[in-house]
Amino acid sequence: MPRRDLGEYVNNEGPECTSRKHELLERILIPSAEKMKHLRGKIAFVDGYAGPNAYGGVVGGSTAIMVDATKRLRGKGFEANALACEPDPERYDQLACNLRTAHYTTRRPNLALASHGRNYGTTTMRFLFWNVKKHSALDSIGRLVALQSIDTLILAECPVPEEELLQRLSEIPGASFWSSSPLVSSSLQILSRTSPERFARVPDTYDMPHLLLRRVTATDRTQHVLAAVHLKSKLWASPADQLRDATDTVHDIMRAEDRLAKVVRRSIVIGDLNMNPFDPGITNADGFHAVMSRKETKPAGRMVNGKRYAFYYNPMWGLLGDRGDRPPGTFRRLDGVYCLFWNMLDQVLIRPDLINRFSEESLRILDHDSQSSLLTPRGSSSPKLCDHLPFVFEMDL
Amino acid sequence: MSENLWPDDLSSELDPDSPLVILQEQAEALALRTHGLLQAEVVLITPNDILSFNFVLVAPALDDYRYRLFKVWPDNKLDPYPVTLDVSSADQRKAATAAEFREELRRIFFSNATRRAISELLGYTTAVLSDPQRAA
Repeated sequence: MPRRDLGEYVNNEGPECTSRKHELLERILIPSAEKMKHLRGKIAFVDGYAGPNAYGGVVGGSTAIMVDATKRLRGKGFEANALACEPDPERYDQLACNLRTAHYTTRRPNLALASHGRNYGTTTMRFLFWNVKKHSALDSIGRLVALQSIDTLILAECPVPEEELLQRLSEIPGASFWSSSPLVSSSLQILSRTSPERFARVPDTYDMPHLLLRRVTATDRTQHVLAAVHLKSKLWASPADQLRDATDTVHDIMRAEDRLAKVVRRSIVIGDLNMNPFDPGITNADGFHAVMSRKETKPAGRMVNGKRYAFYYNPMWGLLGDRGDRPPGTFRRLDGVYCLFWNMLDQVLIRPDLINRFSEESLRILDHDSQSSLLTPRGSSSPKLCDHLPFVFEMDL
Repeated sequence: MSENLWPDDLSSELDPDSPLVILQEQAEALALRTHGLLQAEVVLITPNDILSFNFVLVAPALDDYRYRLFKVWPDNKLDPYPVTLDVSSADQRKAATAAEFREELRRIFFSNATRRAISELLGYTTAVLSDPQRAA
């Protein structure tokens, strides 16, 4: 049976039946769910052929009603989700856009969307981090996300409003990104095409100006902490202040890890740490305790002066210097007597239990966005765009 | 039982000028000023045995969304002052006395960054509370 054209239906017949359906849903969803209280497990509201969820210019269809019901049920202690299925890719995109506009998806964590031909169950997640240093690098960001098939984009100091970013990313064929950024303006932003169900805030934690903690649920149902960081700059902080910043940040990340699993530490730290891999804040046991060789990392950590410290593996060590056809670091600065020229301020750190999920070969510093070089002809990071270079890597999650 | 050598008037009351008490007062003051739409809580953390206080905004209508505004720690473990106020990666302040601490808090609360954060959270809160579907 051919599907009814809802747009034509709304214009010609008026949405009376649809309104009745919505009234009915509003009346029965929560009482029906409450009647199932005696059953074990989760409650899922499934909206088949969801459509764009917009009627007469107002966003508020079945999916939106289900999300609200889910929210209220969660407030009562139920584990509830709303699932919207829409086979028509164009209508699916309208649905995602409408819900995003009405803050049903970007601000609320309990909605999953599915469309035929799109698979959110992919096991390989491709990350890109870039500190764009207050430059409007919108076109470069868009090209990099498309060229590198990025699933999760983490930006620091991006001046572009998030709506504009999402709009630009939505122009990439097959891409539909969600915001997992803080509700308040922040120097850190996280955008992902992974469903919000798999990418949520860690319970009982809070967003901070320099640190965002997110719970990533892998396809094997294990839960991991994604820590997006932007630590104090060497311009404003002494080495001692940077070490203290690192210590406090690790403490916050460990609290988040404890929320998800008491025994195993599973976190990935991504961002502009504003320290090199060999600086004390990164290497010290009471800092990130991140080491250059995966063979040296032990899940049980290391005892130092009677206290046990967990490890991170820092794969950025392998990218320092000239070996290979790539930039020797992520940040170039010429200054004073002690000058490294290239620094590796932007890094990814991985707990020992996650090393097997990390693809070493995928880790790359990028110097080109498919249309233009990010480097000046002399070989430094291009000052006209940004003094940091982005990097990409893959994890099986 | 052998003789108890402890004084019998041990108290759990903090000095009203201590950083923790002042922060808790200001957390209550925010809820009062916003008619409960926004709240704040003081979260104590102890990285490496150094007591720190996180001043965290809470938006009850936004699924209890939390955002840390700043962090405070005493420079010396044993004395309440001086303290360091860590606002952002480029904004760290010091206060040597309770009066200076109150003055720095006022500056932080009046700053553009704080005003913007409060305004955004209040805006989303108002939007959610005025959502007719929520009312239904």
